[in-house]
Amino acid sequence: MTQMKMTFKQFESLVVSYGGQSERWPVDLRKAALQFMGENAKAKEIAGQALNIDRFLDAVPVPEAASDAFLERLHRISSEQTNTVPSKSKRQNVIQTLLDLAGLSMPRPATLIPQAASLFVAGLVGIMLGLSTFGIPASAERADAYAYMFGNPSLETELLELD
Amino acid sequence: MQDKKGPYTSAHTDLGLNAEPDHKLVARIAKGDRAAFAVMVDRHTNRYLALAHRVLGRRDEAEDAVQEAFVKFWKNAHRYERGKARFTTWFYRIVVNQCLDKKRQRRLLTLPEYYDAVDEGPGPDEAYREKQLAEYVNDALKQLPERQRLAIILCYHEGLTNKEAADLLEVNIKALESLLTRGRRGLETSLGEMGKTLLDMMDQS
Repeated sequence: MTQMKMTFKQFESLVVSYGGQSERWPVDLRKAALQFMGENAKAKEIAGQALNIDRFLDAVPVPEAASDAFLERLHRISSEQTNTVPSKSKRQNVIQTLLDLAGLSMPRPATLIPQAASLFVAGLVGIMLGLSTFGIPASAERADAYAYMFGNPSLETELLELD
Repeated sequence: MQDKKGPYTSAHTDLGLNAEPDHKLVARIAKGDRAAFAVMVDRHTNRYLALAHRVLGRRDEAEDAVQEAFVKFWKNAHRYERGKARFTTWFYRIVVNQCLDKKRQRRLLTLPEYYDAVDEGPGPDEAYREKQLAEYVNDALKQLPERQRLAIILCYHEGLTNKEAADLLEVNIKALESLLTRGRRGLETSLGEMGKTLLDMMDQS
């Protein structure tokens, strides 16, 4: 893959959005941005300025972990609340079990729309091609010739002369 | 066989269940497996509690939001679609929505927004300055518009990728970057000279 060349405007936009710490930059831009910063003193300067905001954000303490009492409250949910498992038909259950075994998920009707549309278009094109290849003979004379040929394949040359 | 009453903790579960990936546990929970639910609670609570605390600024409300999110998860685990999103992203959305609901309720009840009181007792100078700086930053974050603040929390504090954060906020990446840019500029303006002075003092100590 070719390395994208970054402009100053792109670099500035990256830094004002994501800050001055390169590990926070989007992965797909990081390499180009680091290269640009290495070659451009002004870029290095604005990344340094952005680090001040990063330091402010780092100053916000990490909230305390959950207390045992709170965890117990959460654990009680499964004994106090009803878990509404949707009922499935026997057929759906069999399909689901097979999909689970194969590590797949049940396709939703909405996800099948593109495949159905593709099949429909392919079918339509097939019918149109079929009609154009085996079109109805243009005249009664040709129709007779087709019927004669299919009855007597050896007379194909006669038909070619008609065409 | 699981007992019907009493909290089900992950201490009840076997090691095999603890090692199962999220999507398999969610599939079990959708069938009513309480042990799998206990494992998910233990595995994910701290992460989402921290997120809710940052968004709401109040511990009591953050705990309520996370609890309500887990209730929704227990009741609706069958709605999780593995192919559409990772569990963590799916549950982020539930927690963020619960937090935003809490904020709306708070506005209706006109309750004040505050960050949990910091211990004001005397201590070493450095610790005191750190607390002071944290309060300044929290105040500045609080003044930001809701979506700018959420964008910063999700990308900076939660470490989500820009794609994940954009999906959660239901915007494209360009719009997310615009929220981040405006948020960071707003923060810089709010903190002003006082914030920089505190940073300088920390550098010197």
